[in-house]
Amino acid sequence: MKKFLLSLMLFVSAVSYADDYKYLIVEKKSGDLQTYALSGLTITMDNSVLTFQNTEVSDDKQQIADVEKMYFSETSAAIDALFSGNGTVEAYDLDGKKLGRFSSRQEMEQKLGRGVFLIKSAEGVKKEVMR
Amino acid sequence: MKRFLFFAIAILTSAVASAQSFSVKNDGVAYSFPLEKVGNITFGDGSFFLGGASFQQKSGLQMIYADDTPLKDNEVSVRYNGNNAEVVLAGNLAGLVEAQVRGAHVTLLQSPNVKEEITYTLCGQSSNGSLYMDGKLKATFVLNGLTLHNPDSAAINIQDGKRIEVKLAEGTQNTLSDGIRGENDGSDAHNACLYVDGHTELGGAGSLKITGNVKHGFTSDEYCIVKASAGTIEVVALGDGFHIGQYYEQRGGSVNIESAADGVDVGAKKDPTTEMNGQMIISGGKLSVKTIGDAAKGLKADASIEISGGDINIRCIGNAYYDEVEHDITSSATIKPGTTYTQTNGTVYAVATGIGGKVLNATGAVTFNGGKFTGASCGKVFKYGTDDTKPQGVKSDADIIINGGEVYVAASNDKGTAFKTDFTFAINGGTVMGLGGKTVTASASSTQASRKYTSANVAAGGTVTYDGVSFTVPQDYSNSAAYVIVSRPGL
Repeated sequence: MKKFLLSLMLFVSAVSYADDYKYLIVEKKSGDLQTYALSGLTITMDNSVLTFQNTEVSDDKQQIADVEKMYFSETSAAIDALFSGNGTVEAYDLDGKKLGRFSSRQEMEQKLGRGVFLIKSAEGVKKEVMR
Repeated sequence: MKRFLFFAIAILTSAVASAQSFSVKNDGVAYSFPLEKVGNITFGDGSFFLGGASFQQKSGLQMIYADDTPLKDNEVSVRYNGNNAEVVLAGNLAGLVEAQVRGAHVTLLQSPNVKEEITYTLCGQSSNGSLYMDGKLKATFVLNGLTLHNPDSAAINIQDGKRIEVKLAEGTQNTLSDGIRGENDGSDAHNACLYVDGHTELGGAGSLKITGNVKHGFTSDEYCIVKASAGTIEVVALGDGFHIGQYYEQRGGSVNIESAADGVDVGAKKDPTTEMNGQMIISGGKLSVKTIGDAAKGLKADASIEISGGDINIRCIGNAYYDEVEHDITSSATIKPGTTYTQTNGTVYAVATGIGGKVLNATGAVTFNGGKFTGASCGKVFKYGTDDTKPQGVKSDADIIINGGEVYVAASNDKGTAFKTDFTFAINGGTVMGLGGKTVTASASSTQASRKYTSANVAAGGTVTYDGVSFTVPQDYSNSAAYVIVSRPGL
């Protein structure tokens, strides 16, 4: 029975997290990142242009020649942007309790584990769901 | 513990329900990927790449995110909607299955590189649509509430050549009909509303109605098996109801055929080593056949017909005629084996009402070992010049042997013989009654006694009883002066 329960939990865990993308990130050849929420996302190809539509934008265009790649992400590129500055970030829980200071996203993920956090840096504040 | 399981299952259900897909869609055809399998989407010279597949950059092409459950690998969905159709293919089939949609006419071409069986699920309705498929590997077609009429060709034309399973989704009603040959009828394959160049296995507890407005209702170029799981299949056709190559085997289901030509016609392959070549085997289910054309046969096989179960009802109303090509008379028969007829179980009720029509007309031996066989020929003698053909009951160009079961045969009062053979007619067991316009005598080799009577007045639908054996004849049959032969154990 224990083995069964363990297997079930692992399966539930795997399925739950495998399917929880929220964003499409467009990485341009310039290095810029553009984030689109997946909700209602349709990308239409017209000659050399991609037109993005979702619940937030209705006619956002990107030149195909400018796109390095696109990929799906659980987090917005805006979170990553918090680490783009030269300083560290601070993490808080939803009650405002400070949880730590981190110099890289990797370090932050390792030390915080799963949960919902507020991430603060010189670039701004973002709410992050960490799986 | 129960509470834990409840929550675990609830979370699992929720997680599965929130699956995500990403589709590449163009001209009514979409390839759908589970989001986690898409990976990086990159662009090359005139192409783009995702999920291990490449696509051509085209104006109007769309990439669509959906918060739904994507198709599983090797699944294809075809949905008809009026004059349009939409095909969604599992992403792993990109480059392996080419789909084209023109209005509601769908073409699916499987690459020879397909290594795993693909399941195509068809649903929706169109009065001007069709499905054409070609490939080199076995495939499954699920009819899941499909109403499809093609005004100028076959409704479904499968040119695969391998085992094709046609599954009627449980609880669904499916309807197929075809039309006269037209511009969409680009091959010589349109001899049926549902055409399968391959081995067809029919199953699934739904229902299917086929209307063959041009020729046959259903053609399977090689064998056809109606599986025990099959639901109801109804066929109306200007040609044969079922036109089968190799062999026909019915294990279950309910098949109802009304046809101008033969009900079930099984042809033999040219290669004589072909497995079960030209045979018909019925071991279960229900089979009801009505043929209306002249010289049409209810059940016809180039080789043997074996009945070991099932409930069979056949009615042929067509007349005999003189075939100017063959220079011979051809007549209708409810059952026409090319070689032998053997019955070990099941029930057969067969009536031929046309001029010269016969109940059972076999080239080889006829053997009854069990089950129940009731037959009647009701027509007159067919004459052509000095030639004629008589409305016989059970006729064989070899022996007729009754070893067991119940055998009741009423042959026409116009020179019909209940059991007609120039060879041995032996009764070795079973319960037997034969009525006819001519007398018949069991061979001396018979091991069970029989008695003969004359001048029996048999009213339409009436019951005749001799020596404890009763036979209720069909309403179509009457004979004011019948010859009778009767036999049963202990007589």
